[in-house]
Amino acid sequence: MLKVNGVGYTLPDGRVLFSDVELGLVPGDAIAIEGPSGTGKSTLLAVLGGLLEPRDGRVLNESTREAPFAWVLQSLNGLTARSVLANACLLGVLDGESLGEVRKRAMSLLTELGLDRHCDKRAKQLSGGELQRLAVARALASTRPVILADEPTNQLDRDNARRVMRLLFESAAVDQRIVIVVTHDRDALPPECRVVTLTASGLMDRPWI
Amino acid sequence: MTDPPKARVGVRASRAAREALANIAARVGLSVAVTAAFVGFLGSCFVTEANAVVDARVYAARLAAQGYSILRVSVSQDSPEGLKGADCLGLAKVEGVQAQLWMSKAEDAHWFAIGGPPVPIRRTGGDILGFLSATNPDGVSHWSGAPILLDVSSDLATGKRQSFPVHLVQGASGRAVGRDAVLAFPTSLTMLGGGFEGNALLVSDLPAPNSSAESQSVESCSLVVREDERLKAKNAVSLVFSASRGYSVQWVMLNADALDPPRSRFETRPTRWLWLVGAIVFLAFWSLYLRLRRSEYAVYAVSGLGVTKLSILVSTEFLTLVTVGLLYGSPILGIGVYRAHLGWSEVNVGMASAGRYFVASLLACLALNVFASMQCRSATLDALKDR
Repeated sequence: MLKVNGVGYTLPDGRVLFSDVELGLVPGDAIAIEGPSGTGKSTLLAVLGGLLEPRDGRVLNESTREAPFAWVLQSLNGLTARSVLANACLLGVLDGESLGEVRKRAMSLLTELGLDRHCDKRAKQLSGGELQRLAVARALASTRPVILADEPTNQLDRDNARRVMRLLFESAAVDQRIVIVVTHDRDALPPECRVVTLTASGLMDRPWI
Repeated sequence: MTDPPKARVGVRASRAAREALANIAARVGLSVAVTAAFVGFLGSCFVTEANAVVDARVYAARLAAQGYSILRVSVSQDSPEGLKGADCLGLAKVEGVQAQLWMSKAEDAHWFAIGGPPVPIRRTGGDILGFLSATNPDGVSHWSGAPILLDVSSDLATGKRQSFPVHLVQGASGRAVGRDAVLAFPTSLTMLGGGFEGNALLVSDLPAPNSSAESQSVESCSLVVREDERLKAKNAVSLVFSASRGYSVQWVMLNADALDPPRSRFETRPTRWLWLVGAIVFLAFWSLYLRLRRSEYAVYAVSGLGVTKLSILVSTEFLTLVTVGLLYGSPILGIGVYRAHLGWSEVNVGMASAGRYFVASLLACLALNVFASMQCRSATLDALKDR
């Protein structure tokens, strides 16, 4: 379970980015965080993932893993010199899972994301959009209980963006994990997914229109 | 704040190390470059320092073969103390002094003519002749007189002729003073070093009175000193002709720096710091490598590797490259040592320098690895947009 109580973040110049963020997620939950640029969506994600300390409040993560988070970041898309398959298997390998199972899951995801023909290529040979899909495959191929994705579709075309979002949100239910996606791309979100908007005074639930 | 749950299972160090090996294999070109740089600097330290020993040994042998050094005593013009020919003769008693030579002042020069314009020739004295005879027997074999006259214009006598007549003249006017010519023999004084690059004319008779030669003021006094007694001799001479009284006691040779004792020269060689230069340059090279790999290490950082595990990963990459370098470099170095017939002392000094480079590079790079691992967090945050 991931519990966020009254979390706030103030920038070094004293400006309050957001405050009083309340959130409670259990395995199987998936949310999309949206909001105008500069409201602190990525910062909130960093706070949730433990990369930044909140100025106020607390984040409680009840996972028993030392490394519970699978990140999908915009610019850190992979180990460029390693193969696409090795990149997709990275988290599973680091977590000590059976290589055979990790490869199987990774291959399945790479196929689903249209990267199966690039398996043996080096990651640096992929385009920006392909690297972004690879980052998503790496996160999904792991068994980590929380996936944190920062704008995972900003370099993707409409079809691929929808496919990526669908896989991410399905993964919450299928793999029983928490998925948090920061995005501006509302069109790519699956119908009936939970969307919250970050404002300076906290998160607001917004029904899907 | 974020609460860390208890008893968590994390990424094992061995997995981080395995990733490091996979990364090395994936970046063969970069890996080879780092390895070559490390071993290259190590080999350079070894070879340069081993060569320094060889050079020092050759230099010592050259000095030993030469067998003597020249110590010159002179007095400054404004000093109330004087320097007389007799003072120079007295220095013959100093231990290590093999011969001595004094030379009169320029204003006391005689003018001689040898079928051309007159040239100034100065009076000299001392027992240098015996030394010259020993080192250049042909040059002085025909000479039988007492004093020696030095040619300070240096191009007068070429040494091609065994002897020739010279006439004493009146100053620069060239008017003859004596009726008969005196016989002169040229001999090279180059061996005496700075100021003596010309030839000496050894003349059979001297027009000026000989008896007062030792009591006249002289410009300088050159002492031929045995190599093994050179420091002792200089100390003894410096004690008598102290700098506080306006005297100057200096070694003179064509290459003045060659008068350092071989050991002191070896110990002050600039290349003794090569290991430090090598370590600094390699550290810069390694920091470039880390900079190049920064985004990949950041991927590991967000994948659950903390500072410790990330340090293990980076350090495993470093140590593997270094080990591979040593495995390939050592036999090459060994063959080089064997083929160059290097002795134990050369190998020892070379190894000391290479060892210092190795340890310094190792410690500095490992420290840099930890620092770089700590910086990965900021690289991760940089990757987040809109913060």
